[in-house]
Amino acid sequence: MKVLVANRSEIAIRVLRACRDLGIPSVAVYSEADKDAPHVHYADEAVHIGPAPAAESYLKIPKVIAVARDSGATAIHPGYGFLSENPEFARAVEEVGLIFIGPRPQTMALVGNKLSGCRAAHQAGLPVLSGTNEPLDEKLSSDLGDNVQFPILVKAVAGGGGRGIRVAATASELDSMISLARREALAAFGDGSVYLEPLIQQARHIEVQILGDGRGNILCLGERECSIQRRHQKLIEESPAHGLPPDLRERIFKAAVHLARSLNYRSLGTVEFLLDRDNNFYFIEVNPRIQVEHPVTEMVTGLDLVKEQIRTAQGRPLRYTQEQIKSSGAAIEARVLAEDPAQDFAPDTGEITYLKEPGGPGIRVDSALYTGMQVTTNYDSMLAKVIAWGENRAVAIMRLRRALREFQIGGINTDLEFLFQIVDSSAFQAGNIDTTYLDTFQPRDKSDEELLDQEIAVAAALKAHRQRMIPETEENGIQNHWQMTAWREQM
Amino acid sequence: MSQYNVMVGEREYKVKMTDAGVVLNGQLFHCDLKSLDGNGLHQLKSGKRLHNIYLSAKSSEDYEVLIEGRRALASVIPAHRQGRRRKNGAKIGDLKAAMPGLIVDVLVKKGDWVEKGDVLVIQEAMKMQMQMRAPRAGCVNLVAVESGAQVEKNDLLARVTE
Repeated sequence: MKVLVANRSEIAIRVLRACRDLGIPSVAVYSEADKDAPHVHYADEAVHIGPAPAAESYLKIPKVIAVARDSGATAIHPGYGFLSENPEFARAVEEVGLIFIGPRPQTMALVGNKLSGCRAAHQAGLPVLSGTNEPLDEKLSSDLGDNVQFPILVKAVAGGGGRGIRVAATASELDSMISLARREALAAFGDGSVYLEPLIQQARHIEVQILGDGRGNILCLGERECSIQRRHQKLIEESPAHGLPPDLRERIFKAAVHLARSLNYRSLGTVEFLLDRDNNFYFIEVNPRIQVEHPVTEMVTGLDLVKEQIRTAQGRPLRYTQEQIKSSGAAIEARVLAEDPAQDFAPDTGEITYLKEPGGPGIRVDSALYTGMQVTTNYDSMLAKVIAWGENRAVAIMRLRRALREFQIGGINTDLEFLFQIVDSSAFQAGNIDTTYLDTFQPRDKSDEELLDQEIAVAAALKAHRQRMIPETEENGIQNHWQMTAWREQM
Repeated sequence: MSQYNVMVGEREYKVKMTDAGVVLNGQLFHCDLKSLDGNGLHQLKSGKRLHNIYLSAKSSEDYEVLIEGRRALASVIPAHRQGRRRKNGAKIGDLKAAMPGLIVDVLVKKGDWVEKGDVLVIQEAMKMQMQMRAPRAGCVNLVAVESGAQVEKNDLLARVTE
């Protein structure tokens, strides 16, 4: 086997690492913007596939497949995002005799459409949310708002990753939210169809990691809670879900495994559920790919999910029984994003001028950052993931707090401090979280950081003072560079 | 002797460089700053605390500071230039593009009355539709973009005045 990784950034590195562990040769692809990126250096070979915009590089199916064939690759790993959930891509890969490291194309097509995914889950006996269960017409009927209960969710039929989802709080908002969701879905997935789904207030997002070998064997690798979200984008994920009653957890696992079995699922997949305040759970969707938050499952199970994904793609049967899967301790992941908290968390761009990544006991950093890297709007705003493991949730939280403080990124705005404030909040620590947590979240006031503010003020003043003084001293006749440096640094 | 007014977030400090050392708001502040890499990375000694601190000039007055998990912007203004300090537009609310991207829709026109938080412009970047909201209540005095326009970061989108 020789694997081409059709992705970039941290997930490309993640897949390349699994290839290296397995002794499998690898090929990276890169756009013009990524020619100096770490994944290019990490792979055994790297091939340029086009200009910076993803539509002209990472999303170009014929180009990616041609590069795979030219380089002698026998398999393609799509990572997440980009082509990972595109059944046409998977089909095209298999048609030229290459292995697609992922589910069967027909499974992807079935679950990629949210409505057919829901129907499949419903047929398998899983609880699903009612709703129109049909895409909305282009021309909305004027009485649409009369027949639904507000607030209601407007959701894209295609795609994932929280794009193309809007909440309409009242009937008067419905039209504008539908058109916003349509526009976003069209831009992100090339398909603007949307449907309505009842909104579960204060729901928890619980998802189950499954692994199938396509021969009817399904493993459940535990759950992840991803309730800390902003604009329907997951921000913090953990495993296990805090305080989930064991019998409820078992029932959710059974539902996920049952659905996977009914699909004769091959490869990795995630079955997502919403849990309401009365502990009723509802199927929402299946993500047929490796997920951003997969490391928390790896930390508690000790498995390498990408390795297992590659093994199942090779047609090998599962090598574990369900009884052999053990979860130990707790793991939490925080997503480090290029965002400006002062600008309503709008994506930020610029050059990374300084970088120091965290480390130490229980900390894993999945990142592809480097000093001098240009963060642009061409790609997703995620910069890195910090994952903390501890023998229990409290230890994992303690370590994550430490790591978020150690992480330093200069040159652009990030959500690092915001992540710290969430993890530091007593409600998060108590496990009182749901998907509305960030809507009302108020960061703790920083009055206890008065000393740090003073130190910042003094350091900045000293730096400015010295920079102002240098030209003057030059005029005073200090010509020797070393003398000046010594003076400047007060050696 | 040089004196500076330093803004860190909402807090303002007076920092004096004297022969005896650094004086912060009238109190001697025992500290020392030295460069570690000849560039932005420094060591700050503050009493018995030793910090790694990253300091990078963003403009003639503004410094980016990374310390102990904090990222702050500090404005350092020599006291004799205090009179020229920028005012944080008390009466004018400028809505600026937070990122480069495409203007998808403009929901207001010149002369419209808006409340703080009303959506004025919809911008798309990174495949996300961002609702750009009025920074203050008032009258839309200027609409600087039209739908379909490509904007750069910090481009003026609209201005709201009292």
